[in-house]
Amino acid sequence: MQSNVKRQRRGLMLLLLALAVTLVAAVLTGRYPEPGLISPALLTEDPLARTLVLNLRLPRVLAALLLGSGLAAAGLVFQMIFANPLVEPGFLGVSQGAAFGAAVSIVAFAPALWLIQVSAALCALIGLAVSYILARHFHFGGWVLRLILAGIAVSALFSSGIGIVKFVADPMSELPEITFWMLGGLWSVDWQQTRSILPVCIAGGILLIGYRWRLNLLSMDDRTAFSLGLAPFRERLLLLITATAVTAATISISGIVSWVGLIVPHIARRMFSSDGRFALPASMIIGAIYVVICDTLARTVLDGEIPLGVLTSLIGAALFLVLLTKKRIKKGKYRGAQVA
Amino acid sequence: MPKLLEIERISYRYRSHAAPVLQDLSMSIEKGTVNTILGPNGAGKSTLLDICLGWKEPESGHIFLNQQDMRSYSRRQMGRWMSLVPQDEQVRFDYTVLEYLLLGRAPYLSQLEMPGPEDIEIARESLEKVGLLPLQERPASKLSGGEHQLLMIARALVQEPHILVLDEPTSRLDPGNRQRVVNLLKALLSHGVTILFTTHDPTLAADISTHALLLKQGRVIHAGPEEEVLTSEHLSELYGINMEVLRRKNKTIVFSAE
Repeated sequence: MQSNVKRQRRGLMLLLLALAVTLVAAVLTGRYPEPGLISPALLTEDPLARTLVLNLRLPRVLAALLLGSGLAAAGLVFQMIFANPLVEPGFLGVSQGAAFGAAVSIVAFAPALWLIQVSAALCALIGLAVSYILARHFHFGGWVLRLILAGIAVSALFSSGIGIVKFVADPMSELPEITFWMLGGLWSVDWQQTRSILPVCIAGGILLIGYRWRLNLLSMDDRTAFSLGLAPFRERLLLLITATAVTAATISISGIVSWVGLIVPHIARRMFSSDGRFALPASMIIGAIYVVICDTLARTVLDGEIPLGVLTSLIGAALFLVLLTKKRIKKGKYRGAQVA
Repeated sequence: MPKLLEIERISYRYRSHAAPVLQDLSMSIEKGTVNTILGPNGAGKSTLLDICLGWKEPESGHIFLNQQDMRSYSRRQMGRWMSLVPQDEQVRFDYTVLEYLLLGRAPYLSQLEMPGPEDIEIARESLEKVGLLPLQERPASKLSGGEHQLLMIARALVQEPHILVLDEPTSRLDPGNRQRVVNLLKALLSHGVTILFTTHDPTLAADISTHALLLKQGRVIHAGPEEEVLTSEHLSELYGINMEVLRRKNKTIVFSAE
C-alpha cells in the first residue's frame, strides 16, 4: 500500500512537470512573428511580442488551465457522486442552463460580454437549483435516480428555450453570436476575465481537493454511506454546488466546452487509481494539459480561430472510443468505473 | 448484562396514510449477544434494521443507545457505534481490496482527513481476521461472491463497532461460503462483538444466535433467548406452515414439515 501510494505520488509529480512544460510551450506558441514557437530573446527585444505574450497569451493560457482543471474536477465529482461514469458537468441542467442564459442575454440585452457571463452563470446555477427542487418532489426511486431524471427534464426545457431564442434572434448579428458562444472558445479572454473567475476556481478547487478521499464514500449507496457515519445527502449537495459553481464560472468566459468533464476522469482513473485521493488531482492536471493543448491548437493551426469546443469534442470523442476499445481488448485491466 | 440498544414502543409507516409497517414494537439488545430478527417477507425486518441504524426515524417511540437517546449521537459517533453489512452492495469503481476496506475508517476521520498508517494497520488486521489478507492488492470488484461478503464484514469490522448489523448475511452464498461466514460470526462472538442480523434461514438463526425476535406484520410475536423462541410451534405460527425444529447436542436443524 505504501509503495503504491508512493508510486501514485511520483506519477502526480511527473504530471505536474508535464503541465509546467505545456504551459511554457503554450505561452511561447502562436502565429507572431510567424507560426510556431516565439524566440525568448525576441521577448526582450520586441515590445509588441512582449505585450502579445503577457497581455493576450498568458491570461488566455491561464484561463485554459482553469477551464480544463475545473471541468475535469467537476466531471470526476459528478461521476463519483452519481456512481456513473457517463455523467459530466453538463448534467443537472448546468450546461444547457448556461447556454440558455447566454442566448437570452445576447438577444434581449446589449451583447455586453460581462452580461452574457453573469446571465450564463446565473442560469447554470438555476439549472442545478431547479433539478434539485424537482428531485425533492419526485415520489419514487433513490435520491440519485431522482436527480438524474430531474436533470434530464431541466436540460430538455432549457434546450427548447434555446431553440425559441434562436428562432427570434436576428439572423445577421445575434444568431451567429449565440452559435459561436455554444461552440466554445477563449478568443476574447483577457486578464480581467481570467481574474474574475479566479476566486471561485481556487476556493472550489481547494474544497474539492480537501474532499478527495471522502468522494469514495459518497460514491456508495445512501444507506451504506450513512452507516459509515456520513451525512450523504448534505455532503453530496455541498460538492454538487461547488462543482456546479466552478463549471458555471469557467464556461461563463469560454462558452460550452464539451467532453472535458467526461473523458478526462476516465483517463485519470486509467492512469492512476479509482481512489479519489489520486483520481481527482490527476483529473485536474490532465484536464488542464488537455484544454491548454486544445486551445493552443485552436489559435495556431489555422489563420482563423477554430472553436475550442469543436476540438475538445473531436479529440475527446476519439479518445473515448480508443478507451472503450482498449477495455474490450485488455479485459480485466481497465481501471474505470463499473456501469451501474 | 448491560443493554446496548433499547427500542421502546416504536411505530413506522412509509406514508402518512399508509398502513403501519411496524406497530408498537419494543426490543432490546444486550452486550456480547447475537440477535436474530426472523420473519416472512414484508414483515418489517429491514425497516426495523434501518431504524436501529438511525437511517429511518420512527413516527413514535424512543430508541436508546447505551442508555442515551439515539438522536443525541452525531453521525460520526453513530458510525463508531454501529456498522452495517448490507445484503447486496456493488463495488462501483475499481478499488483494491485494501482501498475499499479503508472506507470503513470514515467515522474516525474528520471531513478533510485521509486514512494514515494506523488506519491501514487496522484494515490489515480485519483482512487477516476474515482471511483475505493475501488479496489486499486485488481489485475488490473481481472477488467471488463469498470473498465479497467476507470483504463487507471486514469493512464493517474496520469501523470497530459496538454493534455489528448484518442484513441477510448468507442469503446469496453457497453452502461452503455460508459456513465460512457462520464460523466468522461465531469467532466474533467469542471476541465479545454484539451482533444483530436479519435472516430467512431459521437454521442459521438457531446455529449462531443467543437471542431471537419473531416479527409478523410489523409486530413482535415472540422474543427472548433462542432456545425459548425458536420452537416448532412459534416458527409454524410465524410462517403459517408446519415447521419442525430438531435439536441435537451442538446442532439445531429447522425444516418445513409439509
